[in-house]
Amino acid sequence: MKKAIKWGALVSAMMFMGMSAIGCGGGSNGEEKIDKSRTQLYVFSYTGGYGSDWIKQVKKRYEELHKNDVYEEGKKGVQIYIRAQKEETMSNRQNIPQNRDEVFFTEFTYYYTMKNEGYLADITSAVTDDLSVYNDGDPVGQNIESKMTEQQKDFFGIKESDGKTHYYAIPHYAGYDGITYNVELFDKRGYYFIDGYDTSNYNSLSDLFIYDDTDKKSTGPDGKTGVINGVDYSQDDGLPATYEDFFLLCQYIQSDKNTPIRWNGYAYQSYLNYIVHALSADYEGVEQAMLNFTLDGEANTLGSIKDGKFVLDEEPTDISADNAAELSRQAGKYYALTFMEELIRGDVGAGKYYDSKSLNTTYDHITAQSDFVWGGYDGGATKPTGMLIDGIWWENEAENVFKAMEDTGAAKKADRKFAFMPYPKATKEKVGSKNVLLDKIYSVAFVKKGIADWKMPLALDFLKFANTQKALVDYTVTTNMPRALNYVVDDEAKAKMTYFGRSVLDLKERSDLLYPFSRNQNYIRYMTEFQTHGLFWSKIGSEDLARSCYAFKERKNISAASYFTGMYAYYQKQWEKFE
Amino acid sequence: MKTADKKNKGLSRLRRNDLIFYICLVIVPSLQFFLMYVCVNVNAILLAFQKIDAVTMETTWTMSTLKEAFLNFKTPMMLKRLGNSVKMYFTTQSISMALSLLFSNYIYKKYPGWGKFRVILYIPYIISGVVTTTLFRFFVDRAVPDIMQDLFGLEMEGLLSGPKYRYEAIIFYTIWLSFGTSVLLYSNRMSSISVDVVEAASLDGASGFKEFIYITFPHLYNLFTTFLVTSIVGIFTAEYSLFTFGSSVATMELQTIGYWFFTQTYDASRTSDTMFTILSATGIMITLIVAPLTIFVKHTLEKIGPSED
Repeated sequence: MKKAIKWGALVSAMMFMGMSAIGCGGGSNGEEKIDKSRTQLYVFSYTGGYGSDWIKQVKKRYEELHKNDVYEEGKKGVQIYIRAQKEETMSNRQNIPQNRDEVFFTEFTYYYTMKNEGYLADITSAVTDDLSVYNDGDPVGQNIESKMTEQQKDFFGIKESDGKTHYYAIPHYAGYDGITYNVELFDKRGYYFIDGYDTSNYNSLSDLFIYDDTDKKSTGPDGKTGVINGVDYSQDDGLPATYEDFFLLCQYIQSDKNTPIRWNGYAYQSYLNYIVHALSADYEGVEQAMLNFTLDGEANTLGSIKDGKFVLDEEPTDISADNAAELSRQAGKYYALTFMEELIRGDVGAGKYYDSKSLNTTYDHITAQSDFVWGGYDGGATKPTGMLIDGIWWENEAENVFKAMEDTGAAKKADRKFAFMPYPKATKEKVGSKNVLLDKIYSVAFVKKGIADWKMPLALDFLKFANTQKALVDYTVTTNMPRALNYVVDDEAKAKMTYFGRSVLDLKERSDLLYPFSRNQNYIRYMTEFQTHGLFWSKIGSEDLARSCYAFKERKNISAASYFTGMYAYYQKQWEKFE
Repeated sequence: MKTADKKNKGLSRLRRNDLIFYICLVIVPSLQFFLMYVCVNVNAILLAFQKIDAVTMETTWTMSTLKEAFLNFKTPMMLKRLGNSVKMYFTTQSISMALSLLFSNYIYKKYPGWGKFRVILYIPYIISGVVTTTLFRFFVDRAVPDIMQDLFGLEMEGLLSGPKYRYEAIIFYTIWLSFGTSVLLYSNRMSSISVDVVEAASLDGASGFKEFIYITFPHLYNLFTTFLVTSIVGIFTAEYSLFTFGSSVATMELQTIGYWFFTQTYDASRTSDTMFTILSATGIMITLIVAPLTIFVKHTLEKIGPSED
């Protein structure tokens, strides 16, 4: 009996061990079985706001194209085996060598860290090879490199000891934070500034806005209207041109008994901090904003607070690692803080500009998106909302919300009109300056180092194929979002996109793009300090404050001016370590 | 003689088989302990004496990492976190220990509703932490303001969303979650008290309170000491579920050393290995504080505490 119990215990222990081992195995992805008659290429795709339908389209076309090709003896064709997960590459990078994934499409992946730690394969040939061979709309000589901006080439291209430029990853998709406005509501209620409006001279708010469609709208933040040199500048007509206009618009929406703006309450500090960064970058322009990452150049927008007002320095300042803290005195940062202070604290008697739940920890991004979409469509249960603060991926995240609307017969997603708002300008003098879109999502695609030599050409080929003109357009049409490369989306393709998707694409085409990339050694060493949540700290008294929105919400004695001054105090100490 | 030899051989075969069985049973957990605990901690200690360059990925052996960690620990923000850690530790420990003893006694004495009461105390312990924090968050940030509005016409922010009650809400949540193990073990230990002793005390006219002080608590004292001593490290490691509640709740008024450790490690895993060296060095510093403190508290409690005799 004793022996039986003993051996029974041993067998049970071995069984549990065995079951654990099985659990660790990859297995199938739940949807597709491995086809042993074909060669597998394992692809990881980060499935966040943009979903994975786009990669499945690429997979289908690629498999069809190569169905008769032989890569391994005894097998014909290729199976692109996709693992689509919401899994952070950076925090799981130690697993990359052991994982079977070979090609990666990711976000928040830090190029130089991954390269220096030895995870990335050299993909130079994929970046420089001619894409026209695929007959996917690329003209002869077009390659992935030619679709990158100079800033991207400078960052991703590494000059090595052979004197040549090598690439180890390429940009993947774009991600901007900003304000989406409800075009249907704006059209219905006339939330557009009227041409010739004067915010210093009006009797009532309604004097500033159009009465009906016959009224001409103002020119908006770009200061232009109509088609000029083939570019249509009327997209932003009537939209708030300045911060002052923005808050007047909020007051007008509020007086109309609607909700001016809402956002994710659970992570409000992050969401609003992204807006501060986006607005400061828009004010500064690409060249000045890039100083925050390169720590090299001439800063000509620095200033300080004197008698409660922001005063520009008389002379520009040469920036280096030694005086990097000076960049905390950029005018764009000050003005962005004033925007945030007004947004959080502004009280126009009827209440705040935002829905009260937007500062409540139970109000997540999906609920905020749902209220934004359903407002006015649910029999009065939700007040219509003018604007939503979120990333451009919000429409994809709200897929189930739109589906619920369609299922109940309330409205179809394709019929809904939302649009991405160009950033209002801090001052009237800045109206007309080009909109700047900050792409801080660090989305890259790469092939992992160490895959079998015979498979490398296949992996590189697939990477190229996923970046042809057709692939980029298909991606955009499927996700309604742009890739972080230069490519043309014709009107026929745009017609298949949602109104919001088209608005993002249009704004991208009319904006300067800012990628917060740098090869500065301090940037690589102290990566977190150059991300959004590292750039807007402030020291007030003995307290270090990470986010201005939190300070304005919970510290009544802190103003935009004192927070701005505190930023310099903080970075003078924090960035002493830069070499 | 032959029989004795046979018997010896049989015994050693039995011992050999026992040994084989024992080895098979413990080899995997031992290996896991060695790899996942010993090696990991040795590596962590070694990291404290290294510096990794994020650009060249070169590792150098240096004492400067420890110096940097020490200087970082002296900054006002870290001292604030330390202050929060100590304050929250003493608040939660004193209240939860007292209440654990009280609730355990209630269950031990089988007062009215003791069974249901026990289930209520254990429920947060058996449900996933993410689920309980979500439920709690929705209750205090949605239900409570709505109830106050509907019943009393009072407009208020959620308890976690606003600064007024955020600290108290976190303390309450932490205490509520702390009862599971302690109540289970205390009440089990209490049930091993001799019935004769309790009856004798009752006959002598001892009140419930006196019984607790002179009989029950001394019987529990070893266990009480164990809980207290093992909780000391929590001064520096407890993050009070702040990470799960979210950054909007984890304000500077609440951030502890444990929370800082957790978030810094999380950030390091997502950016660069170079930050791990500072965290390891900080861990060593904290060990140098916690280890002697724990030993001191243990010896003191053993000296001053009541005995069962």
